[in-house]
Amino acid sequence: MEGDSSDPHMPRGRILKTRDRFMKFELQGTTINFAQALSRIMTAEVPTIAVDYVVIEENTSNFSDSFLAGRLRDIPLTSRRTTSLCYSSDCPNCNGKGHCPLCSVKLRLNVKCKGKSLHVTSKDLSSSDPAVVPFDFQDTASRGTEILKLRRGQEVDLTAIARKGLGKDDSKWVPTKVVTYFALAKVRINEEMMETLTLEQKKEWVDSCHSPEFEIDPCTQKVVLSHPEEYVDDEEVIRKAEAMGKPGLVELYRRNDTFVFTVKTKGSLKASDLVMKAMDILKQRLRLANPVEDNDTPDQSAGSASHTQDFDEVD
Amino acid sequence: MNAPDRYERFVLPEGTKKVSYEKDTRLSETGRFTLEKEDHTLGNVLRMQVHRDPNVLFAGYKVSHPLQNKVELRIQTTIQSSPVQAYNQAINDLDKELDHMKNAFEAEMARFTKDQ
Ligand SMILES: [Zn+2]
Repeated sequence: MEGDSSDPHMPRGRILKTRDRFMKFELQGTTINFAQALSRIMTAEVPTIAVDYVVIEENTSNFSDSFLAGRLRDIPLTSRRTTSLCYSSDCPNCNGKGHCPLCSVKLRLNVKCKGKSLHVTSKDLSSSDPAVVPFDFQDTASRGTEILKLRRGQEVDLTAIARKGLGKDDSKWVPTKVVTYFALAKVRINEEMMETLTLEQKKEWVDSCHSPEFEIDPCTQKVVLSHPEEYVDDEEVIRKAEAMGKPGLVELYRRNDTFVFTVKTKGSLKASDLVMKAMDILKQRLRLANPVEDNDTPDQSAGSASHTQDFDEVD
Repeated sequence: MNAPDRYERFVLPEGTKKVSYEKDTRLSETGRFTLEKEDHTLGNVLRMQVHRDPNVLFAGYKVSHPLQNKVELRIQTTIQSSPVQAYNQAINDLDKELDHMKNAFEAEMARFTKDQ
């Protein structure tokens, strides 16, 4: 963040793009392990709510009960209120049965086709909790997620029981569609060598880049990298430079302390909420792991000589 | 369903110790931390953070029992420090870094919301 250079060890975050279910951000001053941990937590350890069990009363459709259950499990449900819902396994109210309002939400689907055919979608579900609904339920621009199609006279009546869970237990609770991160590439253009190229040659070289981040500045006719954070390592530009007899025209190297993340969610959580929740979870776990009482006062009697001797015993 | 502790993997029942420390009897400034109900995610981050400490000579971790979710972190330091000191420092530093990052994100989100 700008103006926050007090401690060079402190990581910095910068959001590059954000939309409801999408976020691209950069973390600076951190490690690959931290990036790994954050991405793992986002995928597997941030709780969401999903259909976990389906009770079918009536199903005269062309689809099997298990097919219907599978469709329902795959519909992301808005999961902002996970904190107020217990995990069914340790619900104090129903002894882990997972059917009570403290640990579950019921979504009823009761549809009958009176016309020629009927598309049944996520919008036909009615939830016992207005905070837990299909992710596209309130989206007036969307027709909803298709569950099945009914023909004349066919009927489905079921209750889907949604519960809170973690992605590592089952994919239906995974909030993310995509999480990727890459170490930011640092690009150095050899300006002197670049200036020995004609404009045609520059164009030829720029066109060899798969992603369009290298550009020729129309005013100065210089080659510039317009969006460094978009730049995905592209060896092609290096090979092209070599092929043109200009090895060393550009150098690429990875920064091992800066990572660019791309997060897309399925819809149960907003991308920004997911990122924040993942950080909270990591923080909670660190808090739990702290502190250790210091019953290990440095042993003063152990001189450096014996220390070295001891050290030899390793392995 | 026959999977105990299916969800609450990180919180221990009251009265149980989350972290225990055992000093190495042969090597000075060496010891092993055992974290109950933890996994690779935290083990890896912790080890890396401990490594940043110049007084740390060795830091390694293993998941000693995958079914019980136990992580063992072994640390050896110079005589200027101690494993406990290095461990606590790493946790505190990570905690601070996370706070910092969270604040940065909140500020960024506020900036983006204002723009839109
Ligand atoms: Zn319950």
